[in-house]
Amino acid sequence: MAEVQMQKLIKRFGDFVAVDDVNIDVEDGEFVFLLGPSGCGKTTTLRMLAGLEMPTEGQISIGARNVTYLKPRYRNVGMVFQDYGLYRHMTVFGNIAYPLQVRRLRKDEIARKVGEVAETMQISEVLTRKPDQLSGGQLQRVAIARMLVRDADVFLMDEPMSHLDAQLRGHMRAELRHIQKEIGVTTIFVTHDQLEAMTMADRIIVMKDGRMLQFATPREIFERPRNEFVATFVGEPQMNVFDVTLQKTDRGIAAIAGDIIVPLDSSWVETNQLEQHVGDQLRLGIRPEHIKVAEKSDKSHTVPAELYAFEPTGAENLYVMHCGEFEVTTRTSTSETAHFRKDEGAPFSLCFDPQWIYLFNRSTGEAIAHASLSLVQEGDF
Amino acid sequence: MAETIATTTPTEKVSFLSRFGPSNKKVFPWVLMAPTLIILFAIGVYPFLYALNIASHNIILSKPYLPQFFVGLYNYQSLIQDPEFWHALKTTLIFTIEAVFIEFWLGLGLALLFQRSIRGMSVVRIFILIPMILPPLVAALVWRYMFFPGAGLVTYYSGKLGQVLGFEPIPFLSDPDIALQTLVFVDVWEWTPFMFLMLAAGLAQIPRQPYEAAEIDGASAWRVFWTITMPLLRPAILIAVVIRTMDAFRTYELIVVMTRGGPGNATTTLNVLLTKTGLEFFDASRAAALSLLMMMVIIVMSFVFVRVFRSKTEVAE
Amino acid sequence: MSTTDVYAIESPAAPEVQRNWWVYIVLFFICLINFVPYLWVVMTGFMDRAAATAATPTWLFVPTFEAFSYLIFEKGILWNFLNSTVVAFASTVLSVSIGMFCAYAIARYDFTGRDDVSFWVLTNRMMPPVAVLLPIFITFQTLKLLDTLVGLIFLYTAMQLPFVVWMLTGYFRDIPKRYEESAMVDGDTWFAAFRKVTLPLMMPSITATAIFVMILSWNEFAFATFLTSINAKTMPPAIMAYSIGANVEWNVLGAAVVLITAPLVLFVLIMQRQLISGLSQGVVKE
Repeated sequence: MAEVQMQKLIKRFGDFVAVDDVNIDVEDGEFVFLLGPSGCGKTTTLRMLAGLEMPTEGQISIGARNVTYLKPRYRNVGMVFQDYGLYRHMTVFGNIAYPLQVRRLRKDEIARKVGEVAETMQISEVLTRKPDQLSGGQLQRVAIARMLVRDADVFLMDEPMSHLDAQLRGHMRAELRHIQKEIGVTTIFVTHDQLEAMTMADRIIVMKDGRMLQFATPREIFERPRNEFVATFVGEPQMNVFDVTLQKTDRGIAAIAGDIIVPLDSSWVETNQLEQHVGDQLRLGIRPEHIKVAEKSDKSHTVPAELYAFEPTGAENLYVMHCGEFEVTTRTSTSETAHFRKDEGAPFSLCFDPQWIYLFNRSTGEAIAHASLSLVQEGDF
Repeated sequence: MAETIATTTPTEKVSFLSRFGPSNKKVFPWVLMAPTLIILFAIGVYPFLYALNIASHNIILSKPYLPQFFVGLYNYQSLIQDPEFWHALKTTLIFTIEAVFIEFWLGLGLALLFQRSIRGMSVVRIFILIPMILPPLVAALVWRYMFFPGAGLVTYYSGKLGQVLGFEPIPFLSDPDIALQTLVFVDVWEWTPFMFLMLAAGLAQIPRQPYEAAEIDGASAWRVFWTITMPLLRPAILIAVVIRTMDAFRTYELIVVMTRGGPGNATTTLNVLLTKTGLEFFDASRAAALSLLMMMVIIVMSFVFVRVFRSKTEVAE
Repeated sequence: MSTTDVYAIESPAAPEVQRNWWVYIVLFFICLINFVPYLWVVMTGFMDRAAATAATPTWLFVPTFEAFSYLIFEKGILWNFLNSTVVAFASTVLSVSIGMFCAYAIARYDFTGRDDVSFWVLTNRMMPPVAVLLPIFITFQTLKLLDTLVGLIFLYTAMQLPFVVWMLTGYFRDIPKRYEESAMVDGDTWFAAFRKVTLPLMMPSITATAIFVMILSWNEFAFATFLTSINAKTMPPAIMAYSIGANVEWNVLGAAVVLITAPLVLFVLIMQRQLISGLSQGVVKE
């Protein structure tokens, strides 16, 4: 049971900077996710925490202990690898018992503990089998069991679900979160799957190119993304982002993209002092679920669009629309739009909900204005 | 196009040969193996049968005028009752086991050393491999030269050392007990590189993650070696040790060139005894019987070895 | 090591660096032991008769090609050299290409008697050459293969096949089947798939095996001695002649050793990277 702190962590491989100034404070018992695309440095950060890589600069503490350059065996951390890293020449029992044997526990103690953990992970029946006789899901449970059986201070997990099929993944997500809360050990989880992070994490660290972009709760990341990358990384389907210019119209300031006029909420404009940005070239972001679709234009549905592709997903219909020069995806419930036309080129009118519009700086990607309805307090890192 | 030839409808016009083609999973492997098996059969089986035949007769090539009659198992019997046979067997076993044992541990040590990053690795590797590249004959000659009484490098300098430290010059090749050890030394010199190569390759094949997992689980380097590295190395160990044991058992040039089986019969292994019997005494029958007995021993040894190892190595390679 | 001990350990101020200085010393001595004997004999090859047969080892001498010219011009050793090259090369090519298919069959197909066949193939390597000398001698005599390169090539090919099969079987097994299968689904015949997909993947191991076989063939002594006399005599029996007798001419022997080993050493030097990578094929697991 321990807090984890990483301060000014940097890792260089020759000229290449894999991890650039990472600062993280994890509380005892928290379930924290390192989220980002491949090569963003999340796995390297995790490995430095484990002791499998040594930082070039910076400090790492577990509990109150400075463990920066300690060998893994002395750090008292548990880990699940992406490929599970199981000992394939031992039985499942042997695999789970290994860390206990290293600590020279008595045989009956070992048997008891292994039995308990096997119960929890529901692998009691396969204890006598060898890894090559198990399915992917079972292998993962064995790897997790091996991690759980010790009294580690911190649990580390490196994309453990990447080899599981979608159905199993969904099941394991709920189960892992349940176990983590029950055992209460600080856990750090690495993934590139934003859905995993969003559904399981207490807090998420979004990384790109070795740098931390945002460290906040899932809701905050979703509703108040710090920059365009974070905004488009979480959320499925992706947030729609396109180039606009702010201009004064007779109805107030609006965002213009070619011929398309997107009206903006006036009080929101005021709160965020958007008059300063009139004439600026910005990027507008809006999530698919916040775009309303109508067959004919009216007071609110003012943006003309043409259907490009139609994707029914069962509960929802996704429309990919072409608006002038840019493309947006919309998300509506099937019942609302069941009667709409589905042929390519069909004309529609869209309404971009002004209370859910985001504006980003075109060059840096920084968020200039968050949607007015995003309720999260400013509690960013 | 992949040929989908029906193997059950003879009325279809299919070419005769394609019936044995790749799609016929039962027959095709045999087709692939045929050339190998035929050649091996010709070279392996015929001499074997011939040897069997001779061994059951009484053929002495230098005395062709002697009547050659069927003697059944007499030759085998006489061999088993011959103390020279047992002595040669013992010598061979001592030599083989000692040499392979030492070679294994030295080779393993070297392979482990090479896991570290060392500058100039490829250059060092060549030097390590040299003894293996030399023809065994040449290696034997080189060391015969080195141990040559008086002028050999080793004998000369060890003699000088002896003068300083006060011990007698070591009779490397002329003392019955020491001679065998000297031969073991030369064999180790020559074949450790082979063990090194095979074990180094085996080590390289072990994935990294079990090591990392073991480290995180708290295992010390020593423990990791015995509980992770060695078990996962078993397949490579098996191949290397079996091949080397078989070869060490049949060592020929080394002994014949360096000591001719001497002094006396101190270094006479089965193979050397065989040579003497067949090529010096020309007792072809006895030689044939001896060679068959030798083969039997090797086969049994390898069989046992492979079985014992396979059962412990249930890991899929 | 109980948990309490672990907590007492402090982090070092900097990452632990592996100290390897003693490794260099060890390796140095090993290289020394491995190389000096060989070097000594090689040096002797460049000595004149007097220096070579001296009672005490001489380290400083005037190099001369006396022994070499004797071997080359008076004894025609280049003829043996040529024989060795031809035989080694041919038998390597043959044994590898034939044995490769056999190894493939054992690795890929599961047929009755597979383990027995593979064991039997291996047992062929267990016969002491001296034992089969006589029957093979007689066979060769009957087939008029004595003292011919063809006979030797055929024999060597047969000798090396078990080794080739044994080595390549393991490596074939490491290649996932789906590589070939996807090629075959694309419309290739088995042979085309083998040629385009499997072979390139196996090339490192095949090369490594070929290198081993080449070395073994080049160095083979027993059969070469007894089955050849003039025409097909290879290097090993040729140089044996200079090592027996009461007054061994060490410099001639040294020169002979140089001639017989130099090509191999050079060969391995050039090919060593292939040898290593071929032996460790399969490191990258899917």
